[in-house]
Formats: sequence, C-alpha cells, structure tokens
Amino acid sequence: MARIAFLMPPYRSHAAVHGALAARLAGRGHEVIFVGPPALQPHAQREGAGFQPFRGPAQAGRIGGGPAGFARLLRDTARATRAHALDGPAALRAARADIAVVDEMEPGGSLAADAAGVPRVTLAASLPLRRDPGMPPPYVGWDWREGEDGVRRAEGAWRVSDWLMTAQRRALAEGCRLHGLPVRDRPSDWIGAEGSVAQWIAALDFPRPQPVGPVVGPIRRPVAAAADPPLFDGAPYVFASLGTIAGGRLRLFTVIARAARLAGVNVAVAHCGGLSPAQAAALTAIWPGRIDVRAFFDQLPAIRGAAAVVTHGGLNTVLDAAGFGVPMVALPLGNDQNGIAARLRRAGAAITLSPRRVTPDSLAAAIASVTTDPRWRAALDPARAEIAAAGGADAAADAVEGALR
Amino acid sequence: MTPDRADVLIVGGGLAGSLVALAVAARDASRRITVVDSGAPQEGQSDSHTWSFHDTDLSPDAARWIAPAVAHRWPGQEVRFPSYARRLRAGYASLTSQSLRAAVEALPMVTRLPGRATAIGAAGAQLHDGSRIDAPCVIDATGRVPRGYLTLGWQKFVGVERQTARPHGRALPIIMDATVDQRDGYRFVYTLPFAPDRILIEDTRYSDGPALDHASFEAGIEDYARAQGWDGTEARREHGVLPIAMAFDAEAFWADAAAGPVPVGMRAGLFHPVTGYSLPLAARAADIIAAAMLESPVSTASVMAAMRRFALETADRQRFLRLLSRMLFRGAAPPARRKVLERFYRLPEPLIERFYAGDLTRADQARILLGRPPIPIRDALPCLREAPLLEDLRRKRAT
Ligand SMILES: Cc1cc2nc3c(=O)[nH]c(=O)nc-3n(C[C@H](O)[C@H](O)[C@H](O)COP(=O)(O)OP(=O)(O)OC[C@H]3O[C@@H](n4cnc5c(N)ncnc54)[C@H](O)[C@@H]3O)c2cc1C
Repeated sequence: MARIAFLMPPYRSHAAVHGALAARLAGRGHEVIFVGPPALQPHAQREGAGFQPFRGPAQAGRIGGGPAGFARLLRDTARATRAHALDGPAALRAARADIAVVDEMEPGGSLAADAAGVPRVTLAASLPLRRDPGMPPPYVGWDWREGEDGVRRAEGAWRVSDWLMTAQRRALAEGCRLHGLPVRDRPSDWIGAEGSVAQWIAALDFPRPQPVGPVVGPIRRPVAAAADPPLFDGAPYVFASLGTIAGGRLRLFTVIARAARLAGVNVAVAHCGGLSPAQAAALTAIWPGRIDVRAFFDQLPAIRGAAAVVTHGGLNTVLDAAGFGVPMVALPLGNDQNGIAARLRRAGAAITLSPRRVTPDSLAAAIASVTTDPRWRAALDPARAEIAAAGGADAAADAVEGALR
Repeated sequence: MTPDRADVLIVGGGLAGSLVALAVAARDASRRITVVDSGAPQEGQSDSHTWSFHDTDLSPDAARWIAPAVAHRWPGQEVRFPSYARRLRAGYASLTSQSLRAAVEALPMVTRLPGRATAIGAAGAQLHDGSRIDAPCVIDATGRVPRGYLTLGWQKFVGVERQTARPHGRALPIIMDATVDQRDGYRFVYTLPFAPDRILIEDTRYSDGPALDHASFEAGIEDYARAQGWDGTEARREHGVLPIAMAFDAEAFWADAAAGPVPVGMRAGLFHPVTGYSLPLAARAADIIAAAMLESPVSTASVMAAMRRFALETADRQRFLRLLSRMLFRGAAPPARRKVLERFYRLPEPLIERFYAGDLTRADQARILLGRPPIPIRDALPCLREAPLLEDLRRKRAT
C-alpha cells in the first residue's frame, strides 16, 4: 500500500476531482495526503484527505476583476508555483510520499516531485495543456481552424501566453536551478512521461493526433444511492450553476431566473455560496414556487434529473451534463470556459451565449430550443458513450497504481 | 599533571579558547594546556551553542584539526529571498557546545577546569575561589567584546532545536530564508536539519539595538514551523546577540592590550564585521598561536606579538566589510536591508565564499560596490568614511 500525495491549485473544482480520485485510492487501501500551502488545507479537510503543509499563500489566487485582477492573478499564480518549487520537495519527503498526483495547472508540484525524487502522474482536471498543432491555449475562445493557418494562429497565441506567464516561468526556472534539474519553464513542459490522466474527453475536444494520456472522463465520487426527493416533485426543470469560482454574479442569476419564467420552466439555481440570503430571497421572488435557490445541490442527481443545464461552462459541470445526455446552454465567464465553449460549439453539443450580452429573451429562446429539440440531446450521444466507457475515477486510480509498479 | 605547571593557560573554554587548544595540540602534542572556564554564560549569551562554518572558511590544516569537533556536515546550503533563491555549493558544518568540549577533553595534555577568573594578567589568572594559576603564556578567551573600541550594530537570534513528530523533509541548511515577513530590521530564518526529525530553527534579525525580545522571536519560530507542519517538542534552545562592526579602532585596542594576556576570539574583536561570526578567524588565530608556540620558550609576549600582527592585518583587511556594515546599518533603512542582501547573493559563488571567509579581493570589492551598488550612491556617501566613528569612540574612551 502506498502513500499518495496530491498537489493542485487550491480551487474547489480541482480539489473535488483530486478528492474523488483520492477517495477511490483510499478505498483500495492507500494513504492519501494533499500537499500544499495553507490555502489548500480547507480543501484537504473537505475531501477527507490528510494534509502536509508547506510555507506559501494562505489564499487562492482570486479570479476576475478586469485587467488589474488578471495581473494580480498572474502574480498569485507565480507565487504559488514558487512556493511549490522552494518548499514542496521537503514537504513531499516529509509526507513520505511514494508517488505524487500533480495537477497540470500547478507545474510547481511536478517540479517539487522531481526535486524530491518522487515519481509522479499528472492529472488534467481542466483542459489538457499539451500543445498539439493548431490547439490554442485553453482560455482562448477561438473556434477550431483547420490547416497551416490554424497552426500558426495557435503558435502566436501560445507565444503571448508564455509572455503573460513570465513570472511563473521565472519561478519554474529558478526552482530547476535550485534543485539541479534541467530547466523547464513552461507548464506544458511538466506533463508526465505517460501523458496526463485527463477528464476532458476526445468527443468534445478539438482534434489531437493522439490522446493526451489515459482519458478517463469525469472523476467523481459515487452518486449517493438514497437520493433526496426529486426537485420540483419530478416536474421538468433547468439546473443553473455558474460554478464555485464565479458564484456571486447576481445579475446573471437574475437573467437566468427571468429567462426560465419566460420559457415557462422551473429552475434550480446553485449559487455556490456566492449570494447573500437577501440576494437569494430576491431571486426566488422573481417567480415564487418555481425557482429553487440554494448554495449547493447534490450536483450529480440534480443534473441527471434536469431537462437542461445553464452553465458557465466549467469543465466539471459540462462533463457531468454530457455524461447524462443533458443538453446545455453555456455562458463562459473566463478561465478555460471560453475554450470549452468553443469545443462545445464545434461538437454541436451546446448553445453558447456571451454572458455580457445575454438577455432574458435570448436565454429563454436558448432554453426553449435545447429542452424541446431532441437533436441537442442526440448530439451528446458520442460524448455520453465515451464517458460511459472511459472508466472515470476507477480508470484514474488504475493509472496511478500502474505508475506505482 | 597539575594545572599550575601548564605551558599555556587559556581562560575561557568557549569557541576561541577551545580552538586554540585543538590547534596547539595538533602541532605539538607535548604542550601542557590548562583551560579554565566558568561555565556560566555571559550576560545576553546562551551557554548552548551551535557554531557553523563553510568548508571554504578554513585552511586545509584547520579543517583537519577541527574535524574531531564537528558534529554535523552537509554538502551544501541554500539562501532564499522574495525573488531569488539559490543553492550554494560550499559544504557546511556545525560544532556544538558538546562536540567541541568533548574534542578538547579527549586531548591527552589538556586539562579543562571549572573556575571563574576574577583577574587575568600576562603571567596568570586569579580565580574566584582565591586560587591562582600561573603559566608562561596566558590567553584571554573570555568572549567579551571590547565595546569601547567598536561601533556596533546587532544580529540577534533565538534558535529552537525541535524534535519533530514526523520527518521535516529538509535535507540542507537554509542559512538565510528571507522570504519571511520583515520586522525589527532585516529578518530571516536559519535552519539546520540535524536529523530527519531534528531541526534547528533560528529567527534572526539585524537590528539597531541589542535588546532581545524572546517572545517575538519565539512567535516567529513557531509560525515558521507551523507553516511546514513541523509539530514537535523543543529539544534545546540557544540565543545570541552578535556584534556587527561598523568601525573598529584596532590600533588603540592592541596598544591598550599590550601588557595583559593575549586576547583571542570575540575578546580581540576578531569576528566577521557583517555576519558577527567568529569561527573562521578564531581558527586562523589558533593556527597562528600554534605556530608561534613552536618557537620555545613559549611566552605571553611572543604569542602576543604574533597575534597582534595577525589581528592588525585582519582589521585592515576588514575595512571593506565594515564599510558594508555601515551601508547596511547606516545607509539602508531597515526595510531596504533585505534588498542589499538579496543582491549580494546573486554574485558569483567564489566571491560569496571569499566574503564569508573574510578574504574579499580588490576585484570582489569593486564588483560589490560598482556592478550594482548595494544602496543608492546618495545614501552610501555618508557611510564611506570610518574616521568619524573612530573619532567618536576615542572621545568616549577619553571621558
Ligand atoms: C548561540 C550562538 C551561536 C553562534 N553561532 C555562530 C556560528 O554558527 N558561526 C560562527 O562563526 N559564530 C557564531 N557565533 C558567534 C561567535 O562565534 C560566538 O559568539 C563565539 O562563541 C565567540 O567565541 P569566543 O570564544 O570568543 O567566546 P565564547 O564562545 O563566548 O567563549 C567564552 C567562554 O569564556 C567563559 N568565560 C567568560 N568569562 C570567564 C571568566 N571570567 N573566567 C572563566 N571563564 C570565563 C565563558 O563561560 C565561555 O565559555 C554564535 C554565537 C552565539 C551566541
């Protein structure tokens, strides 16, 4: 039985994926420990994993806030990576880790593992970072472009991306020199030898010459057998969530509630703790009895039972909806959601709308379309089939155990 | 062997006195040496010590005779700053109070006695119990810094050696982790991993005043340990208030010391003006003394002459280091001190090694000052001259 360390950026969406994998591995008798700066501790606790701290940021980099916010996020990202590069190796040794599962989004974690001589498996919880020809950076919302032209365009975008990530690249280079490793300063340089265990499925991806690694689909904890009573007593409803990072967008939630009323369909709104009780009450008041506002739902059953999902297009929500064949309307807010929306458009798997321009009318029309036109559900068939066969948390656990031998 | 028939009497069996005993015994095993030590720490100093040095600080000879006293060795060390971290290749080693004492006590011709000297002269020492020990050569290694001849800043620290409940994971010393928040001047944490579950954590500050607020240092250590999950128990503790020299009137000091016992170690102002460390110089002084003792007959006067020559040369060579101390303490506001150090550590390793050993070349000095001055020239100018500080010292001594 092994001691397995998990390193990741301290976001709930990433921690939930690592947590599900950790739980599966713990079920197979391994010991699981999250390793990170103080900001990761609450996530370790919530996911029921052990925790080995090291010095570093006490808070996750905040996402959003315009150009100033973006600059701050880049700085925070670099700071977290530097903390991993400096103190991660000792922490991995202290945790007596036999292997590390490292999120692609925290390349400092991979650096720490290499410096400590701990074997590692990388995990792409979000869109894979591998730079295949024509593949733009994940947070670019461009539609797929075939041929040389698309390849050149993607290369240009990566150059800009590398430039924007200069501070993080510096931290990586410094860490390499400090620990006597060959200098690798781009996050994609740290993808594991066997590629990354990836959640994102080929059916919804832009074309890649070969899989990025073991593509396992959504890595989730088993859905509770004894489900809560069905929402709206079993009447059709739309499930709406803007994710854990951008949970606080009152304006968008209001548009969603109005749109649901216009479309005449119940709506369950998960605000992920981003709304105050007063704001939540105001939202409910838009259409009393037909709007169910909560911080969190038991998300898998809620999505499975929904007629459609209105989402920011976060990777986890999208995969869950696709797995149940539930059609989607996506309102990408940032991060890799733009890239995900572009992939959904290409697969014909969702209607995507700009969150800045969306109105109750346009959203109502989209909701009406995806809930009434069976072609939207049918378009998800390949994705659903791939996810059903991909193996999820079990396949991911197999990959980790495979790397242990 | 009875102590009153010793060839050499060393008063003070701390670092410098012990090193003299080791060096002399290594050169001439027939010398009878008596070391008298009061065992009581001086005010403000602790009796528990970890003395560390870089391998490059010592001559091959000294490295050989100090080896029996070494308690820990590491193949390198690290420094960390907010935007720069580096591994340094020079090996690092530590002596402890116990390992040093054991090495001295293992020498056949050395007698170590408890006793506090109430008066020390060129011919012997008076002990607190009324007894007297005479010897042809008397060395004063009592550790008290001759403050009247020095303008000082302070490096203060509290170190806690912690037995960790689980392995701490650190393999190498971090001799400066300045990524911690700055308070009380320039602050950094120094760590020595003695064993997989033993680590010395020292909170260190370069401050203007010598007062040591233990509670604040303890809190700093606790924060640092907690952030890495180093739960555990305290195994040992040490603290120190080390002098940083901005000016030293060595001529006057040695003139006034001429008729007494031979001062060594801190007592002789033989420490690194910027780091406050005295081991490298104590080792060199011990070698000088051992060499001087090869000429018989051994006397306080002959050893004094050799030491005086060495010490004055050293003080002269340290001029530049005292300038750096003045820039650090007088030219740089406390929050800017960290930047000065961070810049310094970006310099080539051989230069850094020569800095610690106190052996900077002229080219090194030029490089430190001119490449990218440690502080703005405007702030540096008033620090350039040592003379005004020496003048002050002279005036104060006169009154
Ligand atoms: C905790 C600590 C850690 C340090 N770490 C380092 C380090 O890592 N590297 C480094 O180079 N420097 C270090 N230093 C700085 C410096 O090297 C030490 O201060 C060093 O101990 C000075 O050596 P010394 O022999 O001059 O004085 P001390 O080591 O202080 O020795 C003086 C001895 O004389 C005895 N004594 C005093 N008065 C009398 C008397 N009247 N009669 C008899 N005995 C007497 C004392 O009990 C003491 O044992 C450290 C200092 C401290 C306090």
